[in-house]
Amino acid sequence: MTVAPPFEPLLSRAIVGLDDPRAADSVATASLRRLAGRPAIAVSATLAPSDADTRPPTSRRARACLQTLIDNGPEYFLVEALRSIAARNRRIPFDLLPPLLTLTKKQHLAEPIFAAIGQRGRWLAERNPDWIPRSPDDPALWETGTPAIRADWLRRRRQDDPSAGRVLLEQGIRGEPAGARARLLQALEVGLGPDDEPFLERMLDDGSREVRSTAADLLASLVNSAFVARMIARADRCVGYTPATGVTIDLPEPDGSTLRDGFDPKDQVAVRANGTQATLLLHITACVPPSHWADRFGCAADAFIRSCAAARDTGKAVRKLLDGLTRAAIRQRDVEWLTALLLHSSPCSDTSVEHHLILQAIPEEQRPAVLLRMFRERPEALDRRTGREILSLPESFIVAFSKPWPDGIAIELLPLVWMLAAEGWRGYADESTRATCLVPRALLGRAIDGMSTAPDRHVLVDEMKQLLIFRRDMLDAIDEDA
Amino acid sequence: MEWTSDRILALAPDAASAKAGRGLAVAKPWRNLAQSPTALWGECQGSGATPYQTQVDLGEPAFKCSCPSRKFPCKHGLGLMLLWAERTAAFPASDPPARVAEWLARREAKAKPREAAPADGATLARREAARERRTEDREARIAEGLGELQRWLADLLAQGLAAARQRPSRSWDAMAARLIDAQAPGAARLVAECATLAAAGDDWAERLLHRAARLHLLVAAHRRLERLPAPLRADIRTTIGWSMTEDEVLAIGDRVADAWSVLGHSIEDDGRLRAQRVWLAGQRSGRSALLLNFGVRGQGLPIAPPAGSAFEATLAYYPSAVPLRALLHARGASVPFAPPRLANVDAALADYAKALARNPFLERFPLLIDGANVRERSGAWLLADSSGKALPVRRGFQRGWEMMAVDGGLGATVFGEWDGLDFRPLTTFGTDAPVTLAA
Repeated sequence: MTVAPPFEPLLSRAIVGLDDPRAADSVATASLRRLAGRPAIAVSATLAPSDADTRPPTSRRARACLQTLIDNGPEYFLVEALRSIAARNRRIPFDLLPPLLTLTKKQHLAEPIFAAIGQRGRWLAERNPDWIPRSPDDPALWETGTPAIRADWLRRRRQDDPSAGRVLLEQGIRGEPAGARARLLQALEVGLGPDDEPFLERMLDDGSREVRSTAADLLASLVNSAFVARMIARADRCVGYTPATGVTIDLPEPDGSTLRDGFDPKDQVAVRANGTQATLLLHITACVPPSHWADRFGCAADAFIRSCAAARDTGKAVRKLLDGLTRAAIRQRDVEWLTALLLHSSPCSDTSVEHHLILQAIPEEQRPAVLLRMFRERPEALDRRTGREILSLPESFIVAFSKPWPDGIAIELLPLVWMLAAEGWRGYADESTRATCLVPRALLGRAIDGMSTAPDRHVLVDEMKQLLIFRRDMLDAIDEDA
Repeated sequence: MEWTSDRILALAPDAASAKAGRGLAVAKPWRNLAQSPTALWGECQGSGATPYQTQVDLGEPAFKCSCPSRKFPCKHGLGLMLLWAERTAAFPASDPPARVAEWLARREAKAKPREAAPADGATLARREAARERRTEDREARIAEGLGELQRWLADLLAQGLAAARQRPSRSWDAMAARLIDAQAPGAARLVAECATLAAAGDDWAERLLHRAARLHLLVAAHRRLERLPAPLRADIRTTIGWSMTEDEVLAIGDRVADAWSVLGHSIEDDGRLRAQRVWLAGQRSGRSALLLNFGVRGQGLPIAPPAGSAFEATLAYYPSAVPLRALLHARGASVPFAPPRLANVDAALADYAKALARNPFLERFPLLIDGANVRERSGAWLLADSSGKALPVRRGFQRGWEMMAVDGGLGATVFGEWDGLDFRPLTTFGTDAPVTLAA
């Protein structure tokens, strides 16, 4: 046995060529010696280890559900599963942490994921630059973020300190392109107050229509602002009402001041459909707090809306007034007026706002009562054929909740869900999925059974039923001990 | 053994099948679901008019389905088993229908220990004579092919590895084809792989030189084959590409009856052929074993028992100076898993060095590292033990973060294959169920 030559020098020579005829023998022995004697790589013995996570692990069924949700969604269920796991103080199997952390790129998943992954997950996240939780409050984001991220950052800043947020925006907004200016300005809706008025009033002189319109929109929320006072003055010249004559309208004329106050006479769609004056009426009335009419005419919301609704066929002007009232009620979150609009008008045909916004403007805890009243007083709302008149998208009402439906209303909503599923939910797969997430846990069995008996089954019936079953099994599995 | 979704999904032939199987793990497409203590069955409504009849033998497990898929197990089999694991209540207990009962009976008959087929003396003598003629003929061709390989190697080393790297890949293929003609398919593969090694990352030169060294050693060893001990002779013949029939292995191989713990498995797919490796460790004998199965792409591989399971079995080892590859001779009942002797990195490397000294043609060696944690270093992974000794993890390994999640810096037991240059993790055993890292 010959002694093997050292490997490294041989390798260097082999790259350019070994002319010794016995080279192959040397290569063979050196290679074996190298492979057999290769030392381990020295690293620092200790890596700062994760703290022990002593929480009991999730059951294997829960693990399987989680894996399915990570791979295929739906994300609504993933969020609910993560929250339930965190609430029950269970531990997610460690090997699922990396695929979960990869999902934290999605802003709406980051919070529930970080809340559920425990010590080990946070330890892991710190080791991967892609996963390091970026505090949404990191000042660097204001300097370097995309317009969307900067707007989000500004909203958070406004939550803590509205005036500091506004001052930052005032300093920086001039240099931004129009789209970003409007987007950043919109962030002032968080913590909006009278202190913002001078700045917003200045922004009405901005060169961009989009920015002016955003500023006007925000000013309209400040009921004591000069802007609202100007709008009220214009509105009072247009709209009259007595119980005897009902509502009367004198269409307004646009001028330079209406342009500055956010009116856009070049809004092709609106102006072509309704004419410049009716469009201006809509713009003006949408900026007037609905309570102003009650004060001015000494009437309740109900009476005023009924009167408008009764006259709705007399011309565009009244319908634009109803549209403006709806927008103003949404803006002011005026439950009395919103309820009156739902009960006495046909908001879907009379307004161009997205209908779920009407219900969403009502505080969540008051929504069930309003819905119940609507179902009782306008049962035709439940009928899709006539219901379209009242709620063109009842499905959007169903999903206008951020957590499972409260007890009282849930039972009432189930038949609506079955009916919508049987009709195919008009193709809004995402909303149908979300609806399955809003069924209270105690009613899941009932919701599933109801799905089974639906006549004329659309394919969505089975899909929603599977989702409901999955969700029920998922929640049960999370409760199970490992 | 308890069948969890992970274990079932580990049976999938590829990721697409796993995903499709998961999609079928819902009650909707299934009719007539039922189970017996050893089997499951049901009918899955596919796109056609007739539902597919799917059945699972829970013993090994084994699958059968009337669908035309070439995947094995197919998505229906996986879906059925997943559904059962997640919602056992959906499967009422029942006696197997005729089609299932017949299949189970056939499987049971086949599971009896295999023995070499008996034959009368004259037939044996005739067979033996014919075999010897063929063997002599092949020996001559191989000697000629290896002679050419030697000249080719000398040429390669004289011109230098850098020049070799510039060669078009067909120049490697030409030598490999010559070795196929010479009926030395094992040597042919070692040559054909040079094209990949030459194109590999930073350490391409070292890898290529090791391969040239191995090929040279093979040529040199073959020349003095008769003077070498029998086990090493077997390794050389295997490396050249001689194969043994199962009957031959059963006739001459060492048999070891033990409780075998499954440490890990992998599937390698070169586009035409899929090679499945299942690594076992004997609980009483302390021996390692490798079950190797080949299948044409998309079908035909048996189901690998999941890592973390164990079963009684008698294995028959292929002759080798470092016996690893074995045949499953008779399989018995499942038993609790027990990990074998654990090692740190230095001890594992010492084991490898000893094995390599006995069989210099050893391609991969099983390592089980205790207290292991992975580290990321400039985009590559290292597997370290608690004393700060580390092995480089195979380039392109994708699941380092999962390993890190499992070890938490605190340590896990990691099983994998070592080829002298880098480590291929196959399983990590942590607090939760073992995680399979290579399909």
